[in-house]
Amino acid sequence: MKFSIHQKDLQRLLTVAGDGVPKKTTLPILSNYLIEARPAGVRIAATDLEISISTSAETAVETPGQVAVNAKRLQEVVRELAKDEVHVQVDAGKFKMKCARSAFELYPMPVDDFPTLAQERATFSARLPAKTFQALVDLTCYAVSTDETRPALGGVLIQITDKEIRFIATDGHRMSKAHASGKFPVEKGEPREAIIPPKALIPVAAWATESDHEVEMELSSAAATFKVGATTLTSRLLQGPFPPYESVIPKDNKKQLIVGREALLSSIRRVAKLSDSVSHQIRFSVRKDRLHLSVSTADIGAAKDDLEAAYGEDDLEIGYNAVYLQDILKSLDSDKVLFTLNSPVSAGVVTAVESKRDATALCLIMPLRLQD
Amino acid sequence: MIMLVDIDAFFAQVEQLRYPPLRGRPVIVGAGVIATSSYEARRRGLKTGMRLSEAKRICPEAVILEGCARTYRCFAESIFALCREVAPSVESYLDEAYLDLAGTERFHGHPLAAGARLKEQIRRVTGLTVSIGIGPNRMLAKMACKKRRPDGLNTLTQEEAPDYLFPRPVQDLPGVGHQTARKLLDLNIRTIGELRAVPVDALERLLGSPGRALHDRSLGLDSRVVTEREVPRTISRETSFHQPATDPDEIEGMLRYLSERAGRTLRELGVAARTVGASFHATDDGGDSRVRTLRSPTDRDSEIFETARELLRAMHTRRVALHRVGVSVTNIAPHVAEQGLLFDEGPLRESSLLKGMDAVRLQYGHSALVSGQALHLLGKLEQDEHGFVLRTPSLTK
Repeated sequence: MKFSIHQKDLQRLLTVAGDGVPKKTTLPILSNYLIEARPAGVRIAATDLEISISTSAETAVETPGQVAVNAKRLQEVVRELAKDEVHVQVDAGKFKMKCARSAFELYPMPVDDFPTLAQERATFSARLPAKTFQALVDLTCYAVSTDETRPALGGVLIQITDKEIRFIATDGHRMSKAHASGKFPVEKGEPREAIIPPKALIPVAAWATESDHEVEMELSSAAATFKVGATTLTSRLLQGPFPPYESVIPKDNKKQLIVGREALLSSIRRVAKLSDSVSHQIRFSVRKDRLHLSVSTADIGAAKDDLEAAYGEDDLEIGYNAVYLQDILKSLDSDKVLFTLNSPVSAGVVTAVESKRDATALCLIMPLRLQD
Repeated sequence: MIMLVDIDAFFAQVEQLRYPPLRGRPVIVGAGVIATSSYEARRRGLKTGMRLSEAKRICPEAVILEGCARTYRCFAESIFALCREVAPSVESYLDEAYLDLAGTERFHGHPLAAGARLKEQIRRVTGLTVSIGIGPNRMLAKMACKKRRPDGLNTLTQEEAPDYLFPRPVQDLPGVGHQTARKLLDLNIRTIGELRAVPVDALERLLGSPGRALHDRSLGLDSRVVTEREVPRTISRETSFHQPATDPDEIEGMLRYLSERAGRTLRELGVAARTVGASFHATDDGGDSRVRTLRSPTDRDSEIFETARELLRAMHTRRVALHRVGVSVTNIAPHVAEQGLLFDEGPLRESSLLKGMDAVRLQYGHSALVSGQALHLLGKLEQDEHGFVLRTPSLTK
């Protein structure tokens, strides 16, 4: 194997594929990049067995071939190289790299050990603009659960109908359902849903936004593949069932509260500094055209703040987890947000008022039960 | 000034008080292992924690009693109540209490006089003898208390501390257990004076963060304050079986029952625990304990039970009968607001059920309600208004 590539291009490829290298692993081969030189260019791949990333660039290849080298070391070395042409070759079982006046040798691992994720025929494909994909990811990934005992909640449920695409994430305490319209030709009722971990979605959104390329999405029965330009990410699907999210969206919430998003966010940030570190409890006291925020924590202290709001219903006292509220408010982009509430023990709905985004979201948050 | 009031051979002394024929005889209280033994028994070489079978071999004439935790609790409470009349801040344990005498000098006069009066009053009210140690901090109070027992009253001042401490074996220093003592002995550190000579950095490297505290204590320094603990650090409920148990239904039924007792105590205190533990002791002398920290604090019986059961199942893998099982909850913090759930209302429903059950039990006794899993225990264990009578080797509950 022998090829040359500019340092800048090589570093970019390594960074992109680097998202697929597991931080910790018991399989040594997974700490490696698979580098493949083909007549048309170079491809670099990495996998943690759940997702696999492969990205390529056109470059001058003298001799095709494959090699598996330690990802961390290679990435660190390439980052420090001169901004010049890098000459790579595998010779006498060693991975050799020359750039300007520096030369490196790395000892590779057997290429055959590198796992390949089984490819299945895609049953469905769709294309999404970068901005839409990014918006859907931003609006949902924060709500994904980290509870390992409920694996299905550890991913975003993606559902596609002929007119819209939905991303839904929940950890059982809050939920976000985002959707964007588009045309997605339906082929005879194929299953159009999949649960995909955020570690697959977040990098894809970042690559798409950076390059302003469309995201091409393909679903098969066991995997989802996302293509952005010359980069492909394949993710195993998480096994369901996903909870019946439609049934928990409240229909009889009548009390509407409209607040400035930035003002509410900074107010929550302020008072939550004194909230307890387990529940992050913060109290909303909703009054006519005012929203009072307060925190009172044993052994720590108390805080109060108040905001102008639009509200015309009965007074309401609700407790929330401040972190959950901040996540929601940060994910939205509008000047104002609308809370649609019912009672101190039922789910509240938060939506953006006049979003400029390419996707809109409905956020649900369950209150904390206040103890009086 | 800090005063330590320690009840002499607590459980055994209570038994000797209640049954005069036992006076002057070696008395052991405990189930499975020795919880406390009288001074007569101690002189024959019996030690707390020793297995009863071994104790019988060493001292066949000893009287072995299972004990009655509630009776002891009553005695302890009345002694601690007397202590609270002496000092504004009292930190009580099972059989001892630390009293912070700061600010009471003009009221009590010399601490020794106050100590003598307190001893006399405790003897008059309860009939029990206590040993009292007085010192400038908790540790020296403890060392002073150990000077002479039973029925002692001693002081140890900061000035006397080096002369008194240095020649004593390291094991006498509070905070030096078996493990630490072994590590120190391996380094030929036998006395507190020798420990004192070790640089604090070296001690810290050897023992971790407790090293620094031990260094301070070797100099007679101790900065721990006396605090009235409203919330216990650990709540543990354990029992031995009348007959070694092999039936999983009986073992898990007991675990369920112990979890309920622990859960109820948590709810009564208005606190929740983040860590749940399970322990067992088998007939072949094998035993183990494990803990697991939960994602969020709990006071629900089922969560405590399910965690404890999982831990026990992971530990108890050999086909041996069990002597004893236990459930403990630690990492206790004030109860925080309960997070509502979108999909599964089970935990919240259980919380309201438990609230109802607690109310019923408060009025009609713990036995008024028995959970399905604990039904296996009916007929196997005695019951009183506090529920099944537990045979706890530590007799703490």
